[in-house]
Amino acid sequence: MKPVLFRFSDGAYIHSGHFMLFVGGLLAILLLAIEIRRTGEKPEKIWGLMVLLSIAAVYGAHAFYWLDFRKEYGYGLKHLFIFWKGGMALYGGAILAFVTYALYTHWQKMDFWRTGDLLTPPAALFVFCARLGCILSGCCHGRECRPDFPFAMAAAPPTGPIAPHTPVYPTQPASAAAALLILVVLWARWSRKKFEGEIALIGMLIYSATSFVIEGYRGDLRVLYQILGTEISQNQVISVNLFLAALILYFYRLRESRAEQAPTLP
Amino acid sequence: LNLNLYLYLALFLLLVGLFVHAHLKRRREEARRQDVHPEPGTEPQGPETEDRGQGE
Repeated sequence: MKPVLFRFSDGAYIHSGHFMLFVGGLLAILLLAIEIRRTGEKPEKIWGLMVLLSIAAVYGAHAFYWLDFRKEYGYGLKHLFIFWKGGMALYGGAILAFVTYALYTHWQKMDFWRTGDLLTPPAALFVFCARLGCILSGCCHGRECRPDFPFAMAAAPPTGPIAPHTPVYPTQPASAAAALLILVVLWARWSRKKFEGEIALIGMLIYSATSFVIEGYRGDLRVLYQILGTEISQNQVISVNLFLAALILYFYRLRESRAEQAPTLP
Repeated sequence: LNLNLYLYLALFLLLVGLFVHAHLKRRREEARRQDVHPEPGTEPQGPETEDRGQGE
């Protein structure tokens, strides 16, 4: 664990979590540029969308984090706007980015589903890098586990109620692996996709499913409900809703595409 | 001094740069296309060549 990645002689420093978001952003931009060239999409519209999405994602993610941890870390209202200090919550960024995406694609008369397919693999790459940042900075850590658990890792500060070096579930590497899995599946599926939007919906399905499971092992999340003795966090509630929405949309789009391809009777 | 903000600024400026570059490129392409295949009614007007006063 290395929360501060670079510390300069004059006292200036760069936090590892934020640095990995930067690296993830760069790689996502590179992958998106390759995809734009490959698919022949209009780059000026995609980059315009990306400018707005970057603002929405960063502020949404920070606002969600602020809401979750303002009491634990004593954040005031001014911290809501200082996004470069403190952390990010991925779902907050995703929600605000989605609203921005829907409005922009409607305004620019872009294909909602095709553009979604284009953006999903770079988003998975970005999440992978962001999760590597979680490993480095020690955030998003797991719950305490038995020391003999095969993949147990030592918790690093800041760990909240868990004492440093306590064996915890490896939620950060698991989240990174899940993002990598999404990227590989989408890559393999791209050339065989059956309808516009399939790539985006598969990405949402895998992300929400893996996220629901992994979040269950996290030790730093706000618990919302207790159902049959099981604690359900805010992120898990979002994961379930996202999964159901993606599943319904997947079969709806599949049926639509089959209806379009079916031969019309004279 | 926390330098995290500069990372975000660099990324944001890169995106703005890509947007501006793509936008200008599109406008240049459109202008070139118009030069080659002018739309009806937008043909450039040549110098006036009226046969006026060319003898009786």
